[in-house]
Amino acid sequence: MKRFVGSSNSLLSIKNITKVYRTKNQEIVANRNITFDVKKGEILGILGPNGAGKTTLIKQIATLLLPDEGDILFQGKSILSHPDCFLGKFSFLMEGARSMYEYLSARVNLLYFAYLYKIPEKVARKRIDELMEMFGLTEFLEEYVMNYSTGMLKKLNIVRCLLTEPEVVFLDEPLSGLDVIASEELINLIQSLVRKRNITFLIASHRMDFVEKITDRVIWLKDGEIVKMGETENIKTSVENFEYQVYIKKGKNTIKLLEEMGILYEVLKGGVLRCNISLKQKEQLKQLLNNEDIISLEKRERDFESVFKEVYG
Amino acid sequence: MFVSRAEFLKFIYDVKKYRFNYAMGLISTLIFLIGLYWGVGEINKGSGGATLFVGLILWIFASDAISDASDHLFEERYYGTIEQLSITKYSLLSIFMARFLAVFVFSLLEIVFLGLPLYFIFSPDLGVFFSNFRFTFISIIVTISLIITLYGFGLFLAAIGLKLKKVGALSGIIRYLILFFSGIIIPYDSMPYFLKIISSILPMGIGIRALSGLEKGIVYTHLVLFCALYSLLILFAGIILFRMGIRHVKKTGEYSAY
Repeated sequence: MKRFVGSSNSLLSIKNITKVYRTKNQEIVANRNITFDVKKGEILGILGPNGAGKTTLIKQIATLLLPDEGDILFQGKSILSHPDCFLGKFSFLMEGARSMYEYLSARVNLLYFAYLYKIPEKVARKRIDELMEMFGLTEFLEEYVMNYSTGMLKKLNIVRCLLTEPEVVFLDEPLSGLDVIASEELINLIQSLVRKRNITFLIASHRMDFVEKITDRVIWLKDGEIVKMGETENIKTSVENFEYQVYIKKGKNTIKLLEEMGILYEVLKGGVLRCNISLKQKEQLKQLLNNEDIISLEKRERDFESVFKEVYG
Repeated sequence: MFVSRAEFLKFIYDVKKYRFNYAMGLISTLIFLIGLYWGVGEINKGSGGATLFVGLILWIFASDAISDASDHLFEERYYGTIEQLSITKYSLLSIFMARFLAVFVFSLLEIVFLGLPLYFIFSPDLGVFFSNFRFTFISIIVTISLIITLYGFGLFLAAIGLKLKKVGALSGIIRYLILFFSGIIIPYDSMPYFLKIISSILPMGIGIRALSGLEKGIVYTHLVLFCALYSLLILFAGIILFRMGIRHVKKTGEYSAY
């Protein structure tokens, strides 16, 4: 395995990571030659469709999986050769996992993990009370975790992640199971933690609006490889910042025409169709204007979701 | 030590939650032990019953110790907590060691609960182990060695169980192998040749032979030494294999699979 020397201002340096899952009949390349740096206090988003290798990537950085090739440096030291140098510095929110002992109360669970991060009891109890209040869970503190709903369990796991005041927090689909208010609270909390404590976040998510709102930088994965990487704002503009949103009165051949041109559409009430056409698709737009009954046409700024669709076809 | 505090906290609340199940388990074990002690004591009339008493007590330890690591590993994988434990300030092995300590203390309490009634009902002649300093020292060494062996073997099984998930089920077989073929129930001298071979391989068999020697006033120094070395070897092998097992499943992506 190759070893690399990290750049001095990076908290994390991921160097040529490759991970292949091998079964009896096949080999699946989950990550291929992935290289990037993460600065302290940065919020990095990892985007990609299902199976793109997002979870595999963050699990490797958190040392829960060992890469087949490459290295991961934390503060310039190889995590693979010095596994002890990262202990207690990371927190991980897993997607779908309970990550708690169901037969214990929330307080005992949190206290248990606090001890494993060497947090004195007094400090731990204070932090638990504060965080549980922040997430509206104070009245459920003594409740067994088995009685928590999915959303409550997600909040409790976020409390566990933040309780230990780690240097890096890995969040895998943090918004799944959270309601709108809790999602907003989480966004505010992450931003305030970055501001106040300079905590670094690596967030894998499908929620474009969330990623767009919160991250400083994004990495777009496709089939285990990085297809785009850059500052969140710049990524949008690098693809194309504007698009046409067209409302069409549904005619006899409208759907057929849109399908032939490869334009995605949405059927609205009252026989109206809505579609987004990129600036590159000028010919298709002309064809529509000539042949169809256009209700309205608007040039608008693209959102992240629309960029995502273009990147992934 | 924060790690011990964490494990004791978790264990105490676990016992608190399932206290009824624990109490019922203890009572059923007590009934089983009384029946077994009485039956075997009748067959081996004339012996002071000290080895049988200590052997049965150690067997209670064995039951917990052998399956402990595998059971905990399964539980951690099932709840998805194994990944959370792995990134704390303690290694998974340290957490498991602290957990063994918590279980060990609980097992000591269990033994007091089970041993006292057994002692008062059958009055085994335990004085033989305390008749002189040398005998006391040897019996302590043998007992500690056997306990270390059991936990070491538990780690060994857990390490294999990381890859072969059904290995944990083997612990039941091993538990009964120990009970019946280590000389606790059937004295070593009365065993057929084939069973003697099995007993000679089992660390518990070697330890029980050393203890029954003391009951007869004989010190089998080679068995005591062998027992101590065997225990260290198994513990060492268990730790190495456990670490290798963790590395292997982290490599294959099966770390949290259950």
